[in-house]
Amino acid sequence: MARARSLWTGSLSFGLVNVPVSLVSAVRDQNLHFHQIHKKTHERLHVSYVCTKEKTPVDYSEIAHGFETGDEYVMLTDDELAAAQLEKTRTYLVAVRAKGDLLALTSMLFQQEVRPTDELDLPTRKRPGKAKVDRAVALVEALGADFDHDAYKDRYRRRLRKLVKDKEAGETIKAPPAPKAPGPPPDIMEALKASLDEVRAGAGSG
Amino acid sequence: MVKGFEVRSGEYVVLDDDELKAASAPKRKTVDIEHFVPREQIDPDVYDRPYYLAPQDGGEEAYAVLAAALRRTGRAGVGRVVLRSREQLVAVVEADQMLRLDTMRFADELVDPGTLDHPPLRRKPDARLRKMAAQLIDGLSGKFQPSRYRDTYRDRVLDLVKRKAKGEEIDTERAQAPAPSDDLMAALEASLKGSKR
Repeated sequence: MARARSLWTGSLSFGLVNVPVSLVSAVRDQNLHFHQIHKKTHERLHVSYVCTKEKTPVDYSEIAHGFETGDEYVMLTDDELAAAQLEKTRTYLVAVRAKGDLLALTSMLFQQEVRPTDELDLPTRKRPGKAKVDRAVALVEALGADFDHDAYKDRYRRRLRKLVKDKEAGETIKAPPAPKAPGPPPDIMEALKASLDEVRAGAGSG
Repeated sequence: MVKGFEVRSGEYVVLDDDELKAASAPKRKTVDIEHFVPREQIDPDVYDRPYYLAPQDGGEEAYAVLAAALRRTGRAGVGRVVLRSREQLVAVVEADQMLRLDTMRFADELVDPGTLDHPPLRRKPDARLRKMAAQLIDGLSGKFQPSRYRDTYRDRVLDLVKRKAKGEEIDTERAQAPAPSDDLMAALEASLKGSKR
C-alpha cells in the first residue's frame, strides 16, 4: 500500500509558539471505482468541456472561474483566488486534539453551514409520556454495547465485489424489488414491551 | 452510459443501475439500529456527514420517546441504512430534542496512525515545558461558541469579485508558513505573558 502523503505543511501556532507540522489525511479511499462506459460500444467515455458559443471542446488550461453578477461574469484566476489569502482553496475551521502521541486535526462546519432546525418543516412537538420513555430507556440499555468500530464491516463493498465477479462469470443479475418503509407502531407501549421481551429472551438463551 | 469496473487492464465488467442495486439489497426502507453505544466512545474521526431526522405523520410520539431515551442514556444508536443505493454505517443521536443521523466511516477507511512517516516523538517532553504549555492553554481557554467563527473565505471571495469587477489589480502573493519556535521555553514564556494581559 502506498504510504500516506502529506497534503499541506505549515505551522501550528498558538500564542507565540510555532510548531511545524504536516497534514496527512486520516481517511483513505476504500471505494470500488467504476469507469463510465458507452453502453453500445463498451468503450470508455471521457469528460470534456464544451464552449456554449464555439461548440468545441476547451482545453483545461483555458478554463477560468466566472462569478455570475446579473448577466455578466467577473473572471477570477487561480492565483487571484489563492490570494483571497488562503492556502489552496479555502479556510477551514478546525479542532486540534491529542490522539495517542499524535495531534489530530478535525475540520468543522462553520455555524453558517449548519442548517438551523427552524428551517425544517416539523410537526408540533408532543412531550412524551414518562412511562413510555422509561420503557424506551430500558430497551436502549438492553441493546447497549461498547462501541466496537472493527465489528462493523462494509457489506456493500463486499457485495459489489461479488457482483462484478458474478457478472464476469456470465451470471444474470436481477434488481431487487423496491423496498418499503414500515409504518409507525399502532401502540408504542406494546411495541416497546414486545421488543424488550425479545431482547431479554435472546440475551437469556445466548 | 453505464458503469464499468476494470478487472484487467482495458477489460471492463459492465454494470447498469439495476444490477448495481443488487449490491445494496435493502429489504426494508429502514435505519436498522444494531446497538446503542455510549456517545463518547465514538471518536470524532469516525463521523462523516450529518443529517437531521424529521418525524413523519403518525410517528411524532415514537420519535419523541426515542429522542428522550437517547438524551437520558447519553447513547447513540449505531446501525445501517441504504442511502443513495449504498449501505452506510450510521449513528443516530439526540440533539436539542431532535434526532440526528451521522454517517460514519468504516474502521478500514481510517489510516492507522502507526503507518505515518514522521520523526520519532520524544515520549516524555520536559515537565517544565509541559506545565507551561498547559498554563498557556488554560489562559486561552473558553467555552465553545460556534457563532464566534465566521467563514471569512466566502466574504473574501465576494470582496475579491467586487474589486475585480471595479477593475482593481489583485495582488497574488501567497501566505508563508512562520518559522518554527527555536527556543520553545522562551516562546511559551512570552506567550504566557501576552495571554495574561
